[in-house]
Amino acid sequence: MSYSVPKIAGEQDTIVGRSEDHLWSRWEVFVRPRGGVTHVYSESVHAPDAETALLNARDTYLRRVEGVSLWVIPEGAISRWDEHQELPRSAAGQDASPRPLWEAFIRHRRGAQFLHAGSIVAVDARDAIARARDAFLTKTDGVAIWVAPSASIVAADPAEAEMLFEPFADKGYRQATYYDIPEEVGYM
Amino acid sequence: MTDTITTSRPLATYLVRHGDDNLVLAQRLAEYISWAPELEEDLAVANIALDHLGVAHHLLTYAATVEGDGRDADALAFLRSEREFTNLLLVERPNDDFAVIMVRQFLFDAYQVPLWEALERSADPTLAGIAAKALKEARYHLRHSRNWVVTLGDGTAESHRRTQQALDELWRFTGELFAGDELDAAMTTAGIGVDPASLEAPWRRTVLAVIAEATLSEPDDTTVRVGGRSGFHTEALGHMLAEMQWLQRSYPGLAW
Repeated sequence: MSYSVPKIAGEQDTIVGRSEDHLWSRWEVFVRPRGGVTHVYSESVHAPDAETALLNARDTYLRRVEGVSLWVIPEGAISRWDEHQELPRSAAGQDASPRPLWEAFIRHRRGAQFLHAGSIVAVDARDAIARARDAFLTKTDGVAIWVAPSASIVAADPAEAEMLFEPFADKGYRQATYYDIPEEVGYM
Repeated sequence: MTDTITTSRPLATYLVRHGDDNLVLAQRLAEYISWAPELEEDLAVANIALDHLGVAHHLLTYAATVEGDGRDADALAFLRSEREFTNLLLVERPNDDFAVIMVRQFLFDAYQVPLWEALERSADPTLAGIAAKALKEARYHLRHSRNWVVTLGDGTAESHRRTQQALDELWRFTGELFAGDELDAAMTTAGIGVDPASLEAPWRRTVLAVIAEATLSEPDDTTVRVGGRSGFHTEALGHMLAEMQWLQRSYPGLAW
């Protein structure tokens, strides 16, 4: 869902059947799997509002993973840094500006998933990235950091956990291993 | 054949009715897969279809066991004719547009939530177990469909018009949800089933609240179409079953 199709010169914007220019905004999805210790980035969904984003995220990313917690964050609320950019400096810290809470997500090495690392207080997004770097990474570890204001996170209501997560527990047919492969097919 | 089952094996008939509701709706939703306005909605519809199919599978498998004739759930699903299907007419109505699909789903979800709440307390432990599992799914389905009814009803002039039209069109099929017969009465007396009439008040509470939130109006159509429970269907079901049953009818016993 987060793909983009390279445009050929003169090509129409609209692809037949489904528009690439979504009417719906994009939300980043984080799932804490059963037995997992932290929320893991699971790609994105499109949705017209926060509640639909949660439902869409549940339908898209909890089909084969049994989750125990689900977060969605509006794409625009996340500030992103990676190893190819200069690391922002932390704000000096003497001023009296209010310091909201931020959530930090870390990619520890190339190709790995973003993991929720923890919360930090910071004056702005640049400050949050710098502080997340200090707080959660060693000198050699970490290739990318995302931060988002904690208030921007939309979390599934724990009271609805049963409705959202439990029905997936006994649906073996969602797993490839549920099906017998005929002998003549061999290895797939 | 329906009469034989009704008189000799009331529990099996009762299970088949509710199994058929879920099977037919699952097939209707499956027909829509790949047509939804967004990929995310396509996945949601597929998930909901699979939930209904799962419930149908449980109910029809149990019905086949109770029946004891050597038929299995697949035989019940694929080898019965239109007149032997006992689903509510509402769930067989065709996918005319997205508003019809979501309003149909909403009207049915608002019925299934109190239905499963009641059957969760059934004296039959197998049925109670199936109901408890189905209830969690139905609550999710209701959340999804009610959101869409509100979004569409309170959306653009066109989406409002189509959603009201869908509601007006489907309204006459909702009376059947609460029209019980002798079988319902017998199952209720035995503590196994629920009196459908008792589901109407909670259904109306849910439906009227959402209609108001969606800026729609309650249809004033007082027509009540019934017949599904005794095998008299609208013209839509036969066509649907032809497609659903074609493979097993053409290649009897074919398996994965």
